[in-house]
Amino acid sequence: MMIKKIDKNQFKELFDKLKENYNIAAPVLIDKNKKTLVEYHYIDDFDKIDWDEQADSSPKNIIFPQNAPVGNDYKEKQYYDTEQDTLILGVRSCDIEAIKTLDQVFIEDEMYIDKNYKARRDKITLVGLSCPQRNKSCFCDTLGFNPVESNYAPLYIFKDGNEFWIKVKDKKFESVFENLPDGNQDKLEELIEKRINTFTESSFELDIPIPLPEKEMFEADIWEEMSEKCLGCGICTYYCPTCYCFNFIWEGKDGESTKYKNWDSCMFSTYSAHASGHNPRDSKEKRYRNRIMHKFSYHPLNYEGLGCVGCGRCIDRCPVNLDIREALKLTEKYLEEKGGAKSGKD
Amino acid sequence: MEKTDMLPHKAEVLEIKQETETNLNIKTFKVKFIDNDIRKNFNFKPGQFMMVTVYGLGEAPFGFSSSPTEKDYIEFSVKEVGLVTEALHNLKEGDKIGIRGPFGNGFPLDSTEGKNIIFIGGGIGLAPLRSMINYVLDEKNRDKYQRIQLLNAFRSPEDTLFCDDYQWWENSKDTLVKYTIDEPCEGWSKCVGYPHTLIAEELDYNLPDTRVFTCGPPIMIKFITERLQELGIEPSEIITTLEMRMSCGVGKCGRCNIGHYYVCKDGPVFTLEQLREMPDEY
Amino acid sequence: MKKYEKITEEIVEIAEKLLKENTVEKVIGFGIGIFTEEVTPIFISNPENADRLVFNSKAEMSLAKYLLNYKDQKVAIVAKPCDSRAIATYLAEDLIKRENIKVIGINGCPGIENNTACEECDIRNAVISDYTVGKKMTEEEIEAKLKDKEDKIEKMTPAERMEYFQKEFERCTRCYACREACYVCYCEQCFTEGNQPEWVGDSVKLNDNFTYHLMRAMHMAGRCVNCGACEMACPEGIDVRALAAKMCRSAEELFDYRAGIDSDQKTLLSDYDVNDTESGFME
Repeated sequence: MMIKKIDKNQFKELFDKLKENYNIAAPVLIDKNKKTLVEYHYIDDFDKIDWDEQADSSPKNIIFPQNAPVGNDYKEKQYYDTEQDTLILGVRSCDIEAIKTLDQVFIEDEMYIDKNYKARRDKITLVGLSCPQRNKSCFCDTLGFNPVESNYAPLYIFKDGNEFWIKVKDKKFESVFENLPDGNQDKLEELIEKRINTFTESSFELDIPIPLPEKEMFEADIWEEMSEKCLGCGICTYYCPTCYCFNFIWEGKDGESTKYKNWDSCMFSTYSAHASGHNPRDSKEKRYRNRIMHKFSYHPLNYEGLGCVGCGRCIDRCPVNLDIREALKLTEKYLEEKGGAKSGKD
Repeated sequence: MEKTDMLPHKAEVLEIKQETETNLNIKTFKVKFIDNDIRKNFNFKPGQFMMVTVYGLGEAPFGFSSSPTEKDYIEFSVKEVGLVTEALHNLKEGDKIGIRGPFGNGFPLDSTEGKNIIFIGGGIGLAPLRSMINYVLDEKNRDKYQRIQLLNAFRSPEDTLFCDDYQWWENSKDTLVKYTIDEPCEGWSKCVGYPHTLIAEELDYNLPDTRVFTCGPPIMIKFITERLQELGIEPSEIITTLEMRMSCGVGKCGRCNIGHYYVCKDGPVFTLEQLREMPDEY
Repeated sequence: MKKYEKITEEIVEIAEKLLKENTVEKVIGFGIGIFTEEVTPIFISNPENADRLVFNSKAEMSLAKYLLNYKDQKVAIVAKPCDSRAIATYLAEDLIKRENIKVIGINGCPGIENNTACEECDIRNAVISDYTVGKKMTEEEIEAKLKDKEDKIEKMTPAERMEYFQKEFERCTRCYACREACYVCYCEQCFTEGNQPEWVGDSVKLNDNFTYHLMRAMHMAGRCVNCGACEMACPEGIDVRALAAKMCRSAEELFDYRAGIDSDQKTLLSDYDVNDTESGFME
């Protein structure tokens, strides 16, 4: 591993150099008429990067766009985004873990590899950012993730004031950074340690088994209370960095039609409705249960790890401030009252 | 066919058979892949399904209703209920559709060998069973299985499906075929009543080592599985196939899950024993 | 701010009494989350928890829609003046039973932070209530609160307006939060959900986004109470309220009609008068 330490001006120079070979996306502040939001956008200007605020929408939008062509009917070929290499800069641990989850689902399952996703993903390099501070709703540390460091990104930035420490974890990138001044590893570890402590002070405690016991929690009588205020919109799923449900659709006339992979949301009633009208999840309560259970029971049963990374966006963006942490606390209480729960794997 | 391919292969509609029209509009489509290699390499098991594309319009899952022993074509039956099914019903012979698959686990053929088999199909639920019926009755396979019994249930005489098969089913070796409709009807001399009420009197349900395959409307499945258990059939020997809204067919798009199982990937065929362990959401 | 605290106190008192006396099974109101300071809808059925109810400048949600979930239960609801208009419209549309609901109406609503609808609001007292909290505002007081600002969209040329809405709607992800937050949008099946015919394509494209927002706006005529819940709910900061607000203005200008003024009024589209203007159709 290579450790570099540079100041803002040096980073700016580095940025301009990287720009020659990469498209660079990073969190930037965007004026959206009625709101001002931080989002991942492709940028040319280093100074536009917002290092301090967690982005209001996740880098999922770049890796797994809302509408992506799969292929068409007139030439039996698949669309691959074979654009230039892309760097996503300033991705925090929560979002890196989320991308790991998406990779698990779309690339690492031998049953099915999503070629389009893979083609796009292969061109993307994640440049992680050690999380500067907790935002008002995030809880990645409660779920066992490390906000200050994630091993899944090949490049990792630790920003300390105007100084940037860069950990080059993948040998492939060493040549890009080799001429920059070295950083002292012990000093960096010290800084990292110090920052972790600022997080642990304000963690919220949660003691639930993962995976949640599937049938027991499915049948629990808590879901109505949990979902009572839910409006049934798709915000929590659209802004969630791990939610990956989609819908295949065909657009265009026969002979010139294209198949798209579009985001879908388990919070919409149409999502699971049969053509006959029958709907296995015909109420808000059932849909909400499915969303929570998918993240904390079904996904962990099918793959390694959680389906939630604790980024807190579903809480921040929810129009009625429905709080997933309250749902988890209610789950904890329910299982506690039932006399200690076994995880779904036992 | 490559499993990861999300684009369908083109197939030509060879024949469209209007099965029923009066109450329900059901047609059976006989199709073949245009590409010879694909046709040759396309293998499926009874109980599996495919995603059928009407180009420019949409895609929907349909179970195979023909047997994999038929190498020249595949068949599937479609009840007109929504957008894609309506578009399929409007197709003409010679039109092109897209097919990808096969998906799902299919019926357990190997572990059923040596057993007595009962098939109970209700309405269009007979379609996936027909794939298996034609497979086990095929002369290459017939000797692998013991006595085979069919109870085919329809709403009325106008709703009977796959009538062209009845004769050879009835004439097959050691095979019993029964038909029932919901209400008595002039000119109908076969059984009358819901199928669960007929199992005990019309079928030899108590042969040793019997396995039951049933498919039909959810309410019928409910009554049949209850009745079969009363008659002493083990839940592990009661096999059914589920229907869900699906889009990908490979357990990714999310909508067909029952707990952590995906009907498209882990199903659509489940034993009653498995279903009992799963959350009740289908 | 004193005003909000006073209103909160009064709400808690009434809610506690209603629950204690079993007048209602549930009180729908605003509360504070367990983990955050954010305002969130809460549903209180135990009188001991009545003190969880609050009202402050962030009580931005329209609660009226929740009434549709409790049609056959006796419930009380905290209603800002705009929410009370929504309730009056539900009563006019015969969706809820008057005898089942107790309205705790807020008089002299001080308004909601960042909600631009409040700046245009001239109905600041509950139009329907069984219990009132706050202090009734006089016409003069309301007048003084109105921000006299020119409507920048009306002033635009058609081309500018097109550009404005294009810029807005191209950001729409069709999460449907505006629809779900809106009290008017209670259809069992939204026109966006059917596919026979498919009015709105599944992919998020500008023309389909336009179709969605324009068609939704048409359904707002004579029903929108200009509460701003749609705009507050939008995660992309889109000016979703503009079209609905225009429908409100048109209904008023053409038919002298405002939604939810009282629960006995006929709804705009179910009423007809031979003298009704045909402006817009016949010119």
